[in-house]
Amino acid sequence: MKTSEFLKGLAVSVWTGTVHLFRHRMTSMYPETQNYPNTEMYAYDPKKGVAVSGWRGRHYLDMSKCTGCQLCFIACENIAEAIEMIPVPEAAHAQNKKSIYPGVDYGRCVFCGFCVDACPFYALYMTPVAEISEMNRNDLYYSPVELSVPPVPNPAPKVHVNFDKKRGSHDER
Amino acid sequence: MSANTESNPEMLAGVFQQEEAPEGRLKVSFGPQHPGSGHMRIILTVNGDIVEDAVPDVGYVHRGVEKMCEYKNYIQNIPHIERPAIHDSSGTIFPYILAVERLLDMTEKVPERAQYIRVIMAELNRMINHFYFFGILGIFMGHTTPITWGMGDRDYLIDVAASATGARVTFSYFVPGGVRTDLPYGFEDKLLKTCDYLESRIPAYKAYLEENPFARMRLTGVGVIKRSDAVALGLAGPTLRGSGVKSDVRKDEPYSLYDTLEFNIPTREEGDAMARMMVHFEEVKESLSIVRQAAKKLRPGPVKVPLRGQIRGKVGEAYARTEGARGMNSYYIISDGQIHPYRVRVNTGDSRNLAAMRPVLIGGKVADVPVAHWSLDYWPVASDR
Amino acid sequence: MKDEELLGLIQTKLPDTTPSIVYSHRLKLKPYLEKLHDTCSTLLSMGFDHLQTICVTDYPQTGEFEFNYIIGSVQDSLKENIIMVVLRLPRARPIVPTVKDVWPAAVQLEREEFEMLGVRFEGNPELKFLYLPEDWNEIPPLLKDYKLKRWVDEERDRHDLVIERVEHEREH
Repeated sequence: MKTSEFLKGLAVSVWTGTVHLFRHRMTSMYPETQNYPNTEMYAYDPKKGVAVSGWRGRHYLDMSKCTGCQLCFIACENIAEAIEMIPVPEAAHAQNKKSIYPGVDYGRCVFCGFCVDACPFYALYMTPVAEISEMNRNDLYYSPVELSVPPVPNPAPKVHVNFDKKRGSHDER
Repeated sequence: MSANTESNPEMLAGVFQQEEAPEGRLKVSFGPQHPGSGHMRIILTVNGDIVEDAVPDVGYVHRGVEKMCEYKNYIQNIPHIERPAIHDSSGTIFPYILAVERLLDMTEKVPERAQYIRVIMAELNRMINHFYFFGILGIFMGHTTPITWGMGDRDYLIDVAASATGARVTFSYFVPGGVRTDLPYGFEDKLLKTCDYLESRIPAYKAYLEENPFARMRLTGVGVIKRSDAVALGLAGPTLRGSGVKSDVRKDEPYSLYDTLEFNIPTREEGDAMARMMVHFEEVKESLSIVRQAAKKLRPGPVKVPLRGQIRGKVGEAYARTEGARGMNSYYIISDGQIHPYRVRVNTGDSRNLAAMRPVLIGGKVADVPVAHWSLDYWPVASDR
Repeated sequence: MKDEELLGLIQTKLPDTTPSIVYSHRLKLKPYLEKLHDTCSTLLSMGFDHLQTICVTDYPQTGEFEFNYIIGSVQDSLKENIIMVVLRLPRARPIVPTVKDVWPAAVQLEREEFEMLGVRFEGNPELKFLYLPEDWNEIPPLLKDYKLKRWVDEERDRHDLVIERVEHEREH
């Protein structure tokens, strides 16, 4: 390599790095701001056979629609073995004669969403909340009653991801 | 049970014993705890600074995907197959879906919109993988800036892909018959803006990895693979194209409407780490152009042929291949008409590039081992399956 | 090259392999065991230089192993064509000659199929474990005799513990 070439390459790369000092920073300050590129719920439309795009996080179970047909359990059977059908006698709904509902073990769930695709009764959704952490491994198990409560709204300020020509995708503050 | 089904302990004797290094040589274990080796180990025999022998010891993350596939139905296989290749989850699942569609006799029925969406996702995944490649390659050269840039820019692509698929890494987006969800409102806009942004970033990468004299010194002449060797060893993807072989499944046997898009196959003649890096670099530019063309061709319409009930493949076999980010991925599926496949042979580009590991490292310097190893496009998790 | 064209070419060069078209761009040859090596050499001289995979399948019902060598090419005229060389051998004696002198890529692929199915490739010097742990002392895992389900059942038993916990909570 010639000396002039060497010096030119060196100058170009050092200059590129220096210019980068004055760019917008890429990092988002988690957990004060949280990026969710898609804030919708992942749902499935059994009539069309196509799912509705959304973030695949924690499930939401509509107990008034669940018939206890176990299709979500069968869908999960060989994927993560995370869903178990749990009898909940106190939750009496006419359409669910046996009163069995799915409970999800998030220590096993891989968030693939094929259980939602299997549900023919619009009973199972996936919400954008994916941060699930517990001190005890067994607490990662969510019973049907816990799943039927809508997820707690995030304490962080509502942040939307903005897509920009100059800055890429970044959170709008 | 026949004789061959019993394990033979004699076969194992002497295979994994730790041999003493020869006189005046040193045995060095590169990995499995080395931050760069990933989940694999290379047993190096070094003489001073020169590597005299390099035996890759793989299998730390072998999960037996091929066996698992025989116990799951065609849909349940999807999350399992794509999980090893976290940087290229669409590219890994793509040939599996094509093979299953062939078994279901629905190759022609997949809607056009779904095919273009698949192209967009596969190319986004290719770029995600390539930016990760630049980052790790930089840090293996002792150059810490590219990893911050590579990981940061990769995240913008992930944001775009996640807005459609709903997951950051393992999308589980392709299913037999199409894709799972239609694109959300405003997706094309986000996609094109991100493409513009990445286009503006390319000069920075060019300055850091191509024009930077120190990067060139570290990459040029390292890990040379000759053209004839590359073909004979059965290498795939950018490693093969870096040795001057113009082979790309997207052009050779176009699938999913790739034949309606215009793009080039970048190749390099030198066959060293620099050439392979440049192939990746050019491929990012080509991918940006493919994504833009495919986004223009998107027309409203169905994205999926709904499949009801359990899927049963017809009795027969299907061999499908696609160009993944790290090489040709191919699946050979034998179906006996049940809900489970009878046999699935998974073949990833990574596992093919492993064959080049030993010849590439022998004769090089110890300091060049990480660079040569990473430039081969070998990702242990996808290779072990 | 067009499928029919290639089929005709193979019929003239390798007449006793009964070539057939599986579907578009996929040709299947069925040579005799003794002719396997010659068939592979002829295919290499025709331009099929990129061995893509070797797939061995276990058929316990018929007592056979099916060997499938899937070969592609990087030559411009043959890029889209795939040749499958298929052999059926009795399960009791699954020994085939290696093709590593035709395609060096076969060394690793044959090694994989050896450890996963216990089949032997005569002449391959590297027939040792690649992916399996060194203390593996069960039968080769991809044989149909090797059942996976029992591990799944064990996992289920462990899962029952969690369900008990939930029921316990409900009593309060």
